[in-house]
Amino acid sequence: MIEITPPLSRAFRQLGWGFVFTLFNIFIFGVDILPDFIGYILIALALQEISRRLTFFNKAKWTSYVLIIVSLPEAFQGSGINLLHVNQNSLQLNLIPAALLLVHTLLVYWIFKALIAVAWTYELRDLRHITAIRGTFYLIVNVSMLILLPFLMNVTLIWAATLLPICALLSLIAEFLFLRLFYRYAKEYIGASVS
Amino acid sequence: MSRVRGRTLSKPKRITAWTVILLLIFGSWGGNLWYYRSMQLEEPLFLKSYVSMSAGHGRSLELVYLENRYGSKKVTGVQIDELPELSFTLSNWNNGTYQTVMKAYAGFNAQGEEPPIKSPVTVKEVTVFYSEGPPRKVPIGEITILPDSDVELVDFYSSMASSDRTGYNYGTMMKPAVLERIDFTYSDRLKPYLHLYLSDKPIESLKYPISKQKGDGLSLSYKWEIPLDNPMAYVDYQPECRLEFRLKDGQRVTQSFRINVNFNLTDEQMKRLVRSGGEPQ
Repeated sequence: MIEITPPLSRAFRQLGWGFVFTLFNIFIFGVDILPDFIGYILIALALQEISRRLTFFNKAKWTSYVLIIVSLPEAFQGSGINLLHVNQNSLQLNLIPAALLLVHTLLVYWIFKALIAVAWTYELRDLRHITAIRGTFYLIVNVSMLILLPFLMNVTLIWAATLLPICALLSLIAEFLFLRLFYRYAKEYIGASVS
Repeated sequence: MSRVRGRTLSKPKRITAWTVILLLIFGSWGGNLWYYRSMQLEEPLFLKSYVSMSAGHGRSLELVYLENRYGSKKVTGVQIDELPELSFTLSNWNNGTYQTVMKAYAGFNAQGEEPPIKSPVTVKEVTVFYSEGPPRKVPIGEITILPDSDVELVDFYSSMASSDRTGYNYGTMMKPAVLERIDFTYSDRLKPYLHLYLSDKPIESLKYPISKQKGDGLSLSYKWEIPLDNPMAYVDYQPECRLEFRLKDGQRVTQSFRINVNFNLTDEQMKRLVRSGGEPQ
């Protein structure tokens, strides 16, 4: 009897949607309608499915489990991914969002590594090349942000007002380029087999 | 898979790279946090003010203090125990990276009301109320408040003070009189930093007596020159210019006006003040 295993297109798209949740925080009446932890659950479920056939994604899968737990307190705080929360009377260093950004960067690193490995395996030369470039760009942006953001506490307002939008824009571009990759991988017949 | 590994960093190099990255991240967070905390004031800091003024209509008293920009312990009220009827208004004057320059203002009585004091009052401490914790007596330098005198020999109709710390007062003589002396309070300490001019001539070069008729103009201008790194730049001196006249009947009359200071601190000065524990050398 011939058994056809469908490609992992659906799981890759789900991965993309999961990252959309983590990328945007849209608040309606003070409630985030795209909470990060829902995004990480979607990511974890997708990675679970993908890693059954492609073991490259195992490390990313375990990292996504950690992120579900780390992102939970933020869902109740409702502060978004603000590393520095400033109001009239207090400047709080939000260590949970900082930890979240650190582990999130690690997750994306493992996913990039796994995607490059998949592209090698399936001989998707162009996709491998694009993935490698976007992965390097993403890591440079996020690691730079993690190093530079604490300086916002100690620089003048003009510096902060210049640094923040640049970081935010570069981060948005890097995230957008990253999540677009999943839809490109979803178009390939990755994971499909006939036995 | 072997081809994949061949294109990436070897394991020891990867471990080294991630160790360096993590050290940079944690170093940046730890270092910035430590520095931020080191630049915080334990509680609001009142600068030393030296004021000698009369409690006349329209006169106001100003105290300068620094508080942490994002701190929770803020000043909520100031009271002079010797003059409890004086009500202070707190206002934000200048925001620095870590601190805010705040000013506490209190105005004297409205025209027509009884003078608030009948004899000179010297204030060296004020009671400060905080958003956290009990009120506390805080040293503020020395403020001498004199009873209002009714002397008005010169009608000062125009005055201006600029942010470059220059200013002028223009007036007209209301009676004939002889000007015998011009000086200012705290001149022993302020002489190198405050220059006063009568009709653009330095007061040190004037030859007294100077005879003035009714209707004659009087033009007094001043210029502050305190280097930003000088300890004097951290003390709020509010001197009064004193004009000593002799009237035709021989009576001596002194009229005074406040020399505007436009006291402010730059961000650098605020940092220096905090680093020095409130006593810059």
